[in-house]
Amino acid sequence: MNEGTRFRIDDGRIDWVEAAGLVVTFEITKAFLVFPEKIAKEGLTAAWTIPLVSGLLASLFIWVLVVVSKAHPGMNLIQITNYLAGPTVGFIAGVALYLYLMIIIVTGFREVADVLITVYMPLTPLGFFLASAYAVVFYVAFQNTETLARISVLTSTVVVGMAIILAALSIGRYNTDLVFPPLGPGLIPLFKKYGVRQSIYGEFLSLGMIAAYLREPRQVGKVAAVSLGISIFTFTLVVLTCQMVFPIPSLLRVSAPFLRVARVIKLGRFFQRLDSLFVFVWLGVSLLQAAVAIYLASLVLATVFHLQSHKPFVVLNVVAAYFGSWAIPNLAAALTIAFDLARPYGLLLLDIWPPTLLVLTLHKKKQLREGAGGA
Amino acid sequence: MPLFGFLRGIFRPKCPAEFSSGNRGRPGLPGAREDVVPGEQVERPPFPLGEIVKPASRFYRSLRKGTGRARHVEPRNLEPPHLSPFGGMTPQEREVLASNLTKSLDENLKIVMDIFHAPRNADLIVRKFDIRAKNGTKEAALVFISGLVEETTIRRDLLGPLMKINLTKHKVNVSIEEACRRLVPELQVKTGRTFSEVVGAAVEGKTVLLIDGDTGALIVETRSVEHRSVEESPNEAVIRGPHAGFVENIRTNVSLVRQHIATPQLVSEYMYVGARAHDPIALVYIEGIVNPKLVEEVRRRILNVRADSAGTIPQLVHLIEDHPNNPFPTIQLTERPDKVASMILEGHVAVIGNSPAAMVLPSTLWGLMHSSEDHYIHFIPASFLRFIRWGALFATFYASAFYVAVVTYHPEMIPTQLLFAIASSREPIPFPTGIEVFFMEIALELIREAGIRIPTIIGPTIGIVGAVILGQAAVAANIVSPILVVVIAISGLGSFAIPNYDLVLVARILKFIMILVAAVLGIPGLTMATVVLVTNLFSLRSFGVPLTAPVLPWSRHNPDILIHGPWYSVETRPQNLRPLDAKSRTRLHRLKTPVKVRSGGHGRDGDLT
Amino acid sequence: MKLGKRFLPAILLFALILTGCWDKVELDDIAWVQAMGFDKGADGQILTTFVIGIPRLLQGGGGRGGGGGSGDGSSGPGPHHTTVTVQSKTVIEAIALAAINLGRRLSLQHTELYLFGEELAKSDIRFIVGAIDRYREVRGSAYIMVARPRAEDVLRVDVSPLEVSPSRYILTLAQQHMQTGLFETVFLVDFVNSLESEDDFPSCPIISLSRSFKQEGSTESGKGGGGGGQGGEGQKGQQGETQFPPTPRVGDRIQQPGLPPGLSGPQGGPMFLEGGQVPRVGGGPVEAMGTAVFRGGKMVGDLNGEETRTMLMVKGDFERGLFAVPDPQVPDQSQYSLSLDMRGRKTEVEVNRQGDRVEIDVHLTLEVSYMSMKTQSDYTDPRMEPLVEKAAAEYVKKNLDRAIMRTQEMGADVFGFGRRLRRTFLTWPEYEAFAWQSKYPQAQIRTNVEVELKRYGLDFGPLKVTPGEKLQESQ
Repeated sequence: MNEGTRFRIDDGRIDWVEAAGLVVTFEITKAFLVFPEKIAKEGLTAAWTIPLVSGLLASLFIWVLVVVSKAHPGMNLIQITNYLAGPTVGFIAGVALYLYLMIIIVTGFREVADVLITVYMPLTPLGFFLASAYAVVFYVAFQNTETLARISVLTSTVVVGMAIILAALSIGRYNTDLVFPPLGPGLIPLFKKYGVRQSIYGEFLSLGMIAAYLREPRQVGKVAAVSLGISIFTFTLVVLTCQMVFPIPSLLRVSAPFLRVARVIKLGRFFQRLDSLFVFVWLGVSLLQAAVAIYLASLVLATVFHLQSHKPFVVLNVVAAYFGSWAIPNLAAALTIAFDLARPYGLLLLDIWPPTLLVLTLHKKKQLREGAGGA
Repeated sequence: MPLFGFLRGIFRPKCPAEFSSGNRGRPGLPGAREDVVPGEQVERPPFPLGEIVKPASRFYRSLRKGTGRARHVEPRNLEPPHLSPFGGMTPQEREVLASNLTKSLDENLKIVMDIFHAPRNADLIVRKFDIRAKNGTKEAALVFISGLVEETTIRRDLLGPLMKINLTKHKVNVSIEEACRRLVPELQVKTGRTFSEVVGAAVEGKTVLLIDGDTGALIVETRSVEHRSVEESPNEAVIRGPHAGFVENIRTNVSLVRQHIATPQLVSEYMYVGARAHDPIALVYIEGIVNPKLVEEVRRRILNVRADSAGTIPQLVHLIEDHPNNPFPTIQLTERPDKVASMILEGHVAVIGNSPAAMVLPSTLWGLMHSSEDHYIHFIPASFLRFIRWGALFATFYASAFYVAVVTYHPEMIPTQLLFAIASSREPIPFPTGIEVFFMEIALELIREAGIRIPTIIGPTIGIVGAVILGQAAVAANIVSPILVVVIAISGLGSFAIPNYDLVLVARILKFIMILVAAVLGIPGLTMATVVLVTNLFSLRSFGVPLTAPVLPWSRHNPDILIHGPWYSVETRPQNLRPLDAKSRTRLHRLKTPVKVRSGGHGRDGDLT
Repeated sequence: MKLGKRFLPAILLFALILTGCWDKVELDDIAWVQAMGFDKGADGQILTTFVIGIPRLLQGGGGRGGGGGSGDGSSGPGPHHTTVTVQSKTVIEAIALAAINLGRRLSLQHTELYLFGEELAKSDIRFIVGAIDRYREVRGSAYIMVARPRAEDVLRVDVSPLEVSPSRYILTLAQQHMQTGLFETVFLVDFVNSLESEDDFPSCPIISLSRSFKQEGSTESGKGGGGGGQGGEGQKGQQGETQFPPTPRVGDRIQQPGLPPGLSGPQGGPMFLEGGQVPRVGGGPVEAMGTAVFRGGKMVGDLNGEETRTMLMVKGDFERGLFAVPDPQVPDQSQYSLSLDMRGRKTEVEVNRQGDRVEIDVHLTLEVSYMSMKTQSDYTDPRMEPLVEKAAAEYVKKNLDRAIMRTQEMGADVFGFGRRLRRTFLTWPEYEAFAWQSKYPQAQIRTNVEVELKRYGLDFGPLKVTPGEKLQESQ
C-alpha cells in the first residue's frame, strides 16, 4: 500500500538517475570540440587509452569522495569541510572550488562560442553571441535543483546518444590501423599523461555538491559509478572515433576533430552536411553545462556564505562569466587556460581534498568513539 | 556580513527545503537552519483568501511527511461550502442568512423575498396556499424560481397532495416533518432550518415548502434545466470506442462517468465554487485508488477560489492551476467520459461541472498527447499514431522556423538539387525568407480564426478554399515561393493533429517566436530557444507533480507514456500519482494460452491433450 | 523560478535585439559554386575555374533547355551553369575576384568537386589543398580529382548529356566507382590527411577529356591562360564546336593506328582502360578512369583502370567490376575473352619487418560470376572451374604486380601498406623515425590471388550450337 509513501518529487531532492545526469552533463560536454585534439597531442596513437586509464585512476579518488559523502549524508563538500576542518578552511576550499568552476565555464563557453562562430557565423560579433547565450544560461541556472537535474537527464541522454550515433555513422570511415603503434609516445610518457589527465575527471567534484540533494544518500556510490562509467565510455568513444577517422599527424592539426568527423558524414546523395544538426545538440548541451556550472558555482558561494538559496549569486556569476569569456583574447588562450591551468588545478582539488576529508573523518570518528568510551 | 544577512532574510522563506532538509538530524551544523527543528514543518503565513491558489509544492511537502507526521493543509478562514454563494453579501445579510427560520410564515417569506429583492426580481415565485389539518388550517407557501423547476412535478407532487388532502379527517397535525413523511411523494427531499439553506436551495432550482408555525423548511428536488442531449464530442472525435461526450449538465456528466465505472468506490463529491455564482462542481475519484492527499489538495484549491463565478471548468482551470502565467496547459481538459473514467482508474481526480469539458488532475505532458483512440485500437498502430502526433507537435514548433534557419543560415544542409529548386523559386521574390514565412503563417492563422467565426454553412469551404486560393495567389503574385507553401502546410497540418487544444494554442504562438529567433540567429538561435522552452517545460508542475513525470523524474509506470504498450502489460498505475493501490491488475490478468497445448510424443504440434 | 518565468519573454527579446542578422544570406543572393578547378597560371599564379549553377534556368523543371535563354543556338542542350576562370595569387583571392565579376557572393558550401590540372598537380598542390581545407564553407566530403590535360578544359565542356547540373553529374559519377572499380573516389578530407601522413600516399582519380574529343574539339584549349577572363570569353564561344562529327564509325576509330605505346594490354593486344583513351563515340566528352599518384604534394605518376582496380582490391574498397579475362583455352586471342563479374571478398595484408627490411604478403580473395563466354567450352562444368579460376587469378595478379612495381618505381605507396606497417611498431617515435616513404621502393611484396567461382548467371553452359551448324562449320 502506498499510503504514507513519501512523494519523491517536489522536495528539493533528486533521485540517483537525475544526479548522475547532472554529473554526466557537466562532465562530458567538453568532449566534443577541442578535447580529442588535446588528448591526441599527448597520447598520439595511444590517445584513446588516456581517458580510459586515467578514468580508472581517477575512480580511486572519486571513490574517496563517495566515501566521504556517504559518511556525511545530506551535506555537500563544503559543509563537510566546514564541519571537519572549521569554517576558515571551508571558506578557502569553497573559494577554490568556485574559482575552478568559474574557469571551466568561462573557458568552456568561450571555446564553444569561438568554434561556432568560426564555423557557422563568422560575421556575428562574439560579444553578442555570448550575451544571448548567457541570457539563456541565466534562465536555466535560475531554476531549482530538481528542474536542472531533470533537464540534465535529458541532455546527457541526448549527448551520449549523439556521440554513439556519430560514431556509428562514421563506421565506414574507420581504419583500425590508425590506433597503432599501440604505445603512442612510449610507456613512461604515457603513464605520466595518465596521471596528469585524470584532470579531465575533475568535474566529478560536482558530485560532492550534488550528493547533498540525493533522496537516498546511500546511492551516491551508484551515482558515481554510473556517471563515471558513462563518462569514460563517451570520452573513449569520442577519442577513438576521431583517431580512427583522422590519422595521427592530421588529428594534431584539426582544431575540432569530432566536429570535422560530423562534417564528413555523407548519407547517400541527399544528406550531405549533417553537422548543423549536431551543432544544435552541442550548443544546447553546452548551454546546459554552463547552466549547471553556474548553478554549482552559485551553490558553492551560497554554502560558503550560509545562504538558503543559490539564486542571488546566479546573476553575479553569469555576469562574471560573460565578461570572463569575453576577455579571453582568443581560442588558443582559452584552451591553454582550460587544459593546462584550470584542469590540472582541478586535479589538485580532486586528488587532495577528498582524501584529506577522509582522513579527517576517520580522525573525527575515532575521537567521537574515544569520547564516548571515556564517558 | 550585513549584506548577506539581508539576503538571507529575503530568500529564506522562499526556499525552506534547499539546505535545511539536508541537515535533518544534525542541528547546529554549518549551513543548517538553526531556527528549524529538524523534522518539523515550517510555519507558514495563513493562506491569503481571495488570492488565486498557486503554490504547488505545498501539497507535495505535506505528502512527503508521510502518515505519521502528515500535516493536513486545512483551508483556513473558510466558510462552510454551502455558504459560498453569499460571499458578496453584506455582513448584515449574512447574519440574517445564518439565522434560523422563524415560526411566522409571513416573516420568513418577507426575509426570503428581501434577500431575492423579490417584487422587483420577478423570477422568484411564492405560491401561498392552505393546508387543512388537525391543528387547524395552516398557511403554507412554496418558494421556487421559475424556469429552473419542473412545473409538473410541483403541481402533481406538491400542490396536488397538499391542497387536496384534508388532514383534519386523519387527525394529523401538519408540520414539515409530516409533509416529508406522508404528504410529498417526491424522491429527493430534505429539511432545512436556516435561511441560507432555503435561499441556497431556491437558487439551485429546488422548491422550498414553508409552513406557518413551523421553523423548518422542506426542500424538494424539482430541478429541470434545459440542456443538450448527449452526443458525439465534437473536438475529440474517435473512430472506435464510445462516442458520447459531456454536455452542459453536471448530473448527466457524472452519470456518464458512472456508466463506465459501476463501483461503490466511485465517489462524486459535490461542492460549489464562485463567490456569487454558486456553481456546482463534482470531484470524481475512486476511493481506494486515489491518494487522499491529492483529493484534499484539489478540494482545498477549489474551495479557496473567491472569484464571483468560476463555474465553467475551463475557467476554473485558470484559477487553480500551478502556473497561471505560463501558457502551457498543466491541467488536461477532456470532453470524453471514457477518458475521464480510464484516468480516474489510474488514480487521477476528475473535476466535472456544468460544462462539456472535465478536468483531470494532475496531468502530464505525455497525457496531453494521448487520444482516447489509443485505447481502442491495437497497441502497435496506437504507438505509431502517437509518434505521428509527436511528429506533428515538432512540425508545428519547428517546421517553418527550421526552414527559415536552414535557408538563411545553413544552406549547406540542403541537398544541392533542392537548394537550386528553392533558389530558383526565390529568384522573383522581393522579400527576405523570414518575412515570407511570417506573412504566410499570419495568413494561415487568419484563415483558421476566420474559419471559426464564419457561419457554419460556408465555414468548411472557406477554410480549405481560402488556404488553397491564398497559397496559389501568393505564389502567382511572386510573394512567396511554392516550396514555402508546402512547409507552411506541414506546420499548419501538424497543429491540427495535436489532440490537446490548449497545447495547440501554445504551439501556434511559440511557432512565431521560433521563426523570429531562427530568422535572427539560425540554428544556434533555435537551440537557445529550445533550451529555454525545454527548461520551462521541465519546471512546470501539475498539482505538484512535475509535468514530465513519471519519466523525469523516473518512477514506476506502465508502458502507456510515449508509446502504448500492449494492454496486458499495462499493469502498474503511474506512481507519480502515488495511488493507494499501485497495481491495476494482478500479475497474470490475461490468460495467455486459452487452451493448454502440448506438443510432443508422436502428435502434431498443437494437438490438444 | 518566479523571476525566471517573468524573464522568459524578456530573454527571448534580449536574444532578438542583441543578435542581428549578421550572417543571414538569401539563397538567391549567392552564386553556388558546383565545382572548382585549378591550373597553373602565368608567373606562378593559379588559374581558378568556378562552375556556377544558374538556378533560374533550372526552374523550368520540364527538362534541359527549358529556360529559354539557355539554348545558346547549339543543337545540344544548353548548360545550366556558367564557368568563370580567374587568375590570382591565392585560391581564396580568386573567390573575391570572381564575385566582383558575377555580382554575387560565391559560396563553396555546395562544391562537390575540386579539380587539379595535371600540370599543376605535377608541380605542387599542397598549399591549395591546405587553403581549401581551412576554408569554413568547404565540405570535407567533396571529391578531389586530377584533370587531364587541364582542369579548365574539363570544366568548360558540357560534361554529361544526361544530367542537368554538374554537381549531380559528379555525384552520380562517383557512384560508378562502386560499380566498375575503374577509379576510386577520394574525399577532400582523406586527401589532406594522407598528404601529411607518413604512411599513406595521396591518390585521386583522373578525369580526362576523351581522346576523340580532344582530337577534334579543343585544339586551342591547351593554351596557357595568360589573361584568365579573356581566355574564358574566347572559349565560351567555342562551345558550339565541341561536338562529335556527324557520322562516326566506331570500328574506324578503334582500328586507326597510332595508339600510345603504353596502351598495350597484358596479352599484347590493345587495352583501352586508360583515362581518355576509351574507344567511344558519343556521350559526354569526359571520362573518369585511373588514379593519379601523389608523393607529398606532387603527382608522380598514374595508374590505369586495371591497376586502379587491383589497388582498390588491396585497400579493401573494391566492390565489384566487370573483367574481360582471356579465355584459358585460347589465351592468346583477346577477342575470346570471358566476361567475369568480380567482387572483392577478403583482403589479407601481412606486413613483416626485420630491422629496415619490410616484407609484405598480400592475399586477395575474389568472388567471380560468369557474365558471358564466347567459346563453346562449358565453363560451368565443375572440372573446368579451376581453369577459369586460375586464369582470372593470374589476370588479377599480373595487374596487381604491375601496379605494385610501378608504384614502387614512383616511390609512392598508395596501397596503404604503411598503415599496416604501424602494427609492427610499439611507439610512435620509432615509427616516425622509420620513414616508410623512403623504404617503400625497397620493400619485398609478394602477392597471391585466389578466385572462387560462385555463380553462372541464369544459364548453365553456353548457347548450344545446332548440329547442323556445326556440320556446316566443319565443312
